[in-house]
Amino acid sequence: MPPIDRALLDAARQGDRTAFAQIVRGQFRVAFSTALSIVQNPTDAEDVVQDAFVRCWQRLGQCENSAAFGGWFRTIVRSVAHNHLERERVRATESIDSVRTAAAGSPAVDLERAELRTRLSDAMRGLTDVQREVLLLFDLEGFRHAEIAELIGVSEGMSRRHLLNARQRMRTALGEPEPLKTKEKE
Amino acid sequence: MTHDDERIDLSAFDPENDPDRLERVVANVMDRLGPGIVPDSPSFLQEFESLVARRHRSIAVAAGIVLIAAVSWPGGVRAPWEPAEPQVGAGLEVPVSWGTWLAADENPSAEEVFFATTGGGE
Repeated sequence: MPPIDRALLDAARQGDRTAFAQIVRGQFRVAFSTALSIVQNPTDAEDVVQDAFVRCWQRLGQCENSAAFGGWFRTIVRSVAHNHLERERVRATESIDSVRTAAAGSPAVDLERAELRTRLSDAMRGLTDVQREVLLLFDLEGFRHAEIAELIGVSEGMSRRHLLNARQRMRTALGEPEPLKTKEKE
Repeated sequence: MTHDDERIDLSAFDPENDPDRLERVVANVMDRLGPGIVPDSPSFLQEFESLVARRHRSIAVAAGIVLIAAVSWPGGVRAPWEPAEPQVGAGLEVPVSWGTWLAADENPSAEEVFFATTGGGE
């Protein structure tokens, strides 16, 4: 999660909603990626992020250290996302695919984007949670391995390894041909 | 750069594909906070605990100063870790009372000698 300003956190802890809205804006993208890595579709990820921010507000008193905010909030997002998945499994009344295709914009672009998302989502199902999270943080959010390592509590080497494995599995699942390594070196 | 170093295009998942998403999330979160909800402040119990902890710290410091003063003052109380006054006669392996008599100016009475030597027995 991006670093959070101590004064901002203190203000939010005192009940300042404007300060909290600023925190929401600053943390949104990473929270969204973390949620997406677990629930695997943007609509559910949005719901999860909302729930996570509400829970974060209710428990802000527990987080006194702005440096620890990122890890603390990520734990909340992950917990809410897993609860969401569990609820969805129990309900299983609505097809996730029907939710996934709901998007804003022109119908043609939306359809194309929805199809691409479906392909990517299907490919991402073959990854572990941590592989998905590293892949999204690196390839979508542009985090560096050092930042990912600190955020999710692994070494930089493991972050690289997860990314490598995730990309290989994604390419296989998406049907991209794996080029011969010898050709790459030429 | 190898093939594995190339990014996977995940822009289809970019939250900004839906330009209203961020504002929608912010608005929904703010609505759900409700007017009466404020973040958890440290609970009364936590406040009380920290107050007691602060009080205990000052009491412990004061008690420590008093103890050190009492121990270091000439003729003050003996600290538990200091050796007791050596008992006269203890090193001679004779009844302690003998040593006391040797160190004293006056002689023991016959009764005291009897009790010291027989242990009060027959």
